[in-house]
Amino acid sequence: MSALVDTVTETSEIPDKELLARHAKGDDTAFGELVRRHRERMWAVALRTMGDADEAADALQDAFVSAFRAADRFRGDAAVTTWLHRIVVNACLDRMRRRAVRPAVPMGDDATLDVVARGQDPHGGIDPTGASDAAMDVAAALATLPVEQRAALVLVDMMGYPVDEVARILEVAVGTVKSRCARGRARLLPHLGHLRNQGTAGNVQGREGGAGRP
Amino acid sequence: MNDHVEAEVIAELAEGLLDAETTAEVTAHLHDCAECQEVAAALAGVSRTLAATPAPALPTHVAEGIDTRLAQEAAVRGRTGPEAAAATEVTSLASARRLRWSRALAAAAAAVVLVGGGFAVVRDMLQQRQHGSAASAPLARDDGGAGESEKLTTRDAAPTLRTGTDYTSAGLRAQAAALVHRVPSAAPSPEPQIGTEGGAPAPELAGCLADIAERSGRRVLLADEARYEGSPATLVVLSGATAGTAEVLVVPGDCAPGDDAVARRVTVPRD
Repeated sequence: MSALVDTVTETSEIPDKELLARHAKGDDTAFGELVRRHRERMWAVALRTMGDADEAADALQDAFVSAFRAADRFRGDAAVTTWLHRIVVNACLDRMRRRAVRPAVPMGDDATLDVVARGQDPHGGIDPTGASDAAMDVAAALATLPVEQRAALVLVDMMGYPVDEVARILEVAVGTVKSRCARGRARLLPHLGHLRNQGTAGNVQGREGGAGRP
Repeated sequence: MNDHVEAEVIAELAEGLLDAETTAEVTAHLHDCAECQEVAAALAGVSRTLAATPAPALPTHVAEGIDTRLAQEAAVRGRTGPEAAAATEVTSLASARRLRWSRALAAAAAAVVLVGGGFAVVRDMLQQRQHGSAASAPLARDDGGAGESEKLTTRDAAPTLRTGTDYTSAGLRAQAAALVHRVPSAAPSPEPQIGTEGGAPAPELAGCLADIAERSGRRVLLADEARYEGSPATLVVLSGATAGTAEVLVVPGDCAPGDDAVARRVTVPRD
């Protein structure tokens, strides 16, 4: 999943843009092909950004329907994948902001408490080799971030997209993306520092976000 | 080294976000401070941990939910787009009843005194009814000309789809949410031409829906003649018990009058 450019060469030679154009002209199969090409990746983006499978599923459906309807407004100067990512991320952010009247922690208290508890226990019961445990931990840690930082880190660090591409997806300046990532990583340090290297875990996790250290 | 650098600043340094002066200061400090070097390494570790997290696989029911929504979207497009001739899949109970009414009224008009413009009068009346046929609009104002059209006023405007979707127990929540999205919004959707009765639902379905509406005290917003777990079933969308929700019933079989045994019922948000 290194680059957005790979996608064209996959299952078919028809470029994304051509599929979108066919769809806009009334071809009933073109959009389905576009969805099949990108839905796995879009799911990863939506789930990681939202942290909740049901919410992510709803957001993803909304996003694909929006894209279906808005295809004729697609401007050819961007990559289709950039445009699709933008629609998916916006659908997620919209949903999360609408939910924001609820308690500030989107994942639910359990998940966060879990992370906090583990962070305070040097032997927090984490199996660093267990991929699913680690993934769960990452999801819970991400849930503690403001949504803008979370979206930036999902796209840059987790999906591996170039910063300038993420800036186009999020429609913000490159510096803004970098700044959100930097602040997000600093906030994740107490939660994820220990996953990197058990040897230094005791030192790293003691620093709450790096703020106010002596 | 009393003045350690905050982790956020170290992260900003790594992104090249600091001005020249701060960059020089922080770099100098890092050079001498093992503890801050460790923070810098841990920050890079955060990125590596995020990158190493395996991507979640798309669950089958989510993929199916997307397909269902898009198939429904394609049906709508087929109805309202240039190929409107293929619109028979989506019909409206209301329009089917209107058609019956129009025949009855036309006959009555001929039998009584209406001459000449009588049919136009009826048609105008029907047209007006169509404009008022949004799911939430009471139609009492139309009643003047139609006589005892009580059934129309209380049961009008329940569009019926025939998506043929195979609703499943596991995917019902997502599928129901997709169906609820098909409920026409306040603005009246384009109605099929009067005269295309070919796609109209059977009167039995209309009776069943009216039955469900009466017993539940809710409005029937939409019906879908489809399948549930492989068997024929009618999915019925009702206005929800609370604002912003809708209730979706799974009625096995053809939903004939009196037969409103509900196999499943789910409440989904409606926005």
